[in-house]
Amino acid sequence: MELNLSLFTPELFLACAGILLILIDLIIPSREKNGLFALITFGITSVAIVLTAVYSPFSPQEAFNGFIKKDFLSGLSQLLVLFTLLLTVLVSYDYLERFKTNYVGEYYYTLIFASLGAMLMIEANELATLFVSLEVMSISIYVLMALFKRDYRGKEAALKYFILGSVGAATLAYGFALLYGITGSTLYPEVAKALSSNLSAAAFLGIALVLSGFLFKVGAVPFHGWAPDAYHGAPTPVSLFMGAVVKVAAFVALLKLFFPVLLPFFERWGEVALIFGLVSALFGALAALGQENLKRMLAYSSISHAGVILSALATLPALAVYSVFFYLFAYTFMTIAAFGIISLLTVKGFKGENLSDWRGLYSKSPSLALLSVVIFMALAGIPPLLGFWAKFYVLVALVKTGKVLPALIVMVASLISLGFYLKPLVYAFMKEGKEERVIPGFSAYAAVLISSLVLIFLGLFPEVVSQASLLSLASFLKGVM
Amino acid sequence: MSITGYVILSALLFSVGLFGLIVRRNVISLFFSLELLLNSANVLFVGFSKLYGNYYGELFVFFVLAVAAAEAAVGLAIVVALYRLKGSVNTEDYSSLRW
Repeated sequence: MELNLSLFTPELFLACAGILLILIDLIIPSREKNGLFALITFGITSVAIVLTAVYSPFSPQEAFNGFIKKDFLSGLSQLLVLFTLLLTVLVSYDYLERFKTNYVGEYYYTLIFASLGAMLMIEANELATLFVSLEVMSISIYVLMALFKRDYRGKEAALKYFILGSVGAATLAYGFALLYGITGSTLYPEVAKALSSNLSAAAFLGIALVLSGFLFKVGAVPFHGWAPDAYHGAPTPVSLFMGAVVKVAAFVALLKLFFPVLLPFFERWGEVALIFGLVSALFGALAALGQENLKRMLAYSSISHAGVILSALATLPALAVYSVFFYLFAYTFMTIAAFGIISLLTVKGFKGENLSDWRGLYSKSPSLALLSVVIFMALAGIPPLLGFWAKFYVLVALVKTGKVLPALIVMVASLISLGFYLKPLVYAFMKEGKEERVIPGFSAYAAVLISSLVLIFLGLFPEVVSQASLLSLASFLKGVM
Repeated sequence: MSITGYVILSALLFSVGLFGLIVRRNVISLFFSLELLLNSANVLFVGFSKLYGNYYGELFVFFVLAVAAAEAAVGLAIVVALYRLKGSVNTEDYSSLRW
């Protein structure tokens, strides 16, 4: 047991950079702030990506006396988070040019702090670390949602997300208190050891509370109430960021917490996750059918995706890590691309978010219309895009473990979802619109293009992601056993 | 006080907090209820920490306190911003986002 501070370099770098940005914010004149801050944040994130790639060991290593454990799974997930941050910065630069705020500096360094929270959450190996990092991430996102000038909608969304998110956090804290009370420790391995010998009603209650706290955070069905309002009301780059980062962080943290702890009585909790997952998958798909606002539609679709990931959790431990990571990888890029293209098209007065604003997009800007085909078809899971392979591996995992009916339900949900993913395309290609040029901002366009290309190329060569998932699975299992 | 006392006290506090969240319509009262929820976990941590004689629980309490303070600051800031735009702290008046 030792401090092993060098393992913590990427996080330390990000934290120091964020704090330095607070100081730099004071001396930069406000006119050039947006460009400069976007540039600096972009640079910081690129350096952090390199550092994270260097400091993610294949054989699991611990730091801070076992409070933090890094393996390949956490390394890759952290890279996913940082890559999302990179593309969010690109989309944000463009958005901030069009929608003014007095808090440009605050916007960028709060983004950095939110990513730092997500990174810590992914590698946490102790309950208090997990709780604090979860809150660092969530509180940063509450702030981000409310930062824009005269944006009543964003502030209302922030309040709703704040209240429901805090209830989730409090539920989680209470569950942790119960687990601590039963086991006498907050370190994952010791909690797991103590729980495997003693399964009482109190342990059941504690695990149930922790699980519901996590369901709150990922927006699965009984606790999904905040998701549509929060995604709809938040500024689009922030919806993008929280859609991708919160899901990745919460699901990887769930894997890392629940696999060691629940391995002895996996069967029963697998069933619970499966039921919640299937209900969310169906509910999200059905509720998205009637939406007129694209952001709200994507929010319901994210509930549906969260449901699919949850049902993937219920397969055998090994298959679960593999298929969950693969799905998260695909989901991150799909979310970035989808919210990115909405952000591109949004102009003053939030025009461009509604389905009717997509009328005649093809005649206005053919390239954007073609990109939107790629994005929405990837979300629906049409081959050969990456979204298809993600769904495919989840289905294979479900069938392999003998859960044929759940696999069928997931397929029905994705068939239903095809219905609403086709709607914006119908508007873009078949309906006539007013003839006016769309001038997309360069940086946001680059972000959408990059993530769409990832969806196409990795869809053609899914072995790359598949190998990465396999390696992370191997590394993760090495740490658990 | 025995450990049962701590458990009962924290369960009571948690229920009161949850009840307040469901019943109240004033945002400030909702904040009170949130603080109760978080602090009920603290009571439990302190009680168990005393039972086990290690400090994991008491450490956790400090983190929860810090997080609760940060949450209250951010939440109140959001409410102030909303009050300036809307002139109300009643949750029923915040209803521009719906199906």
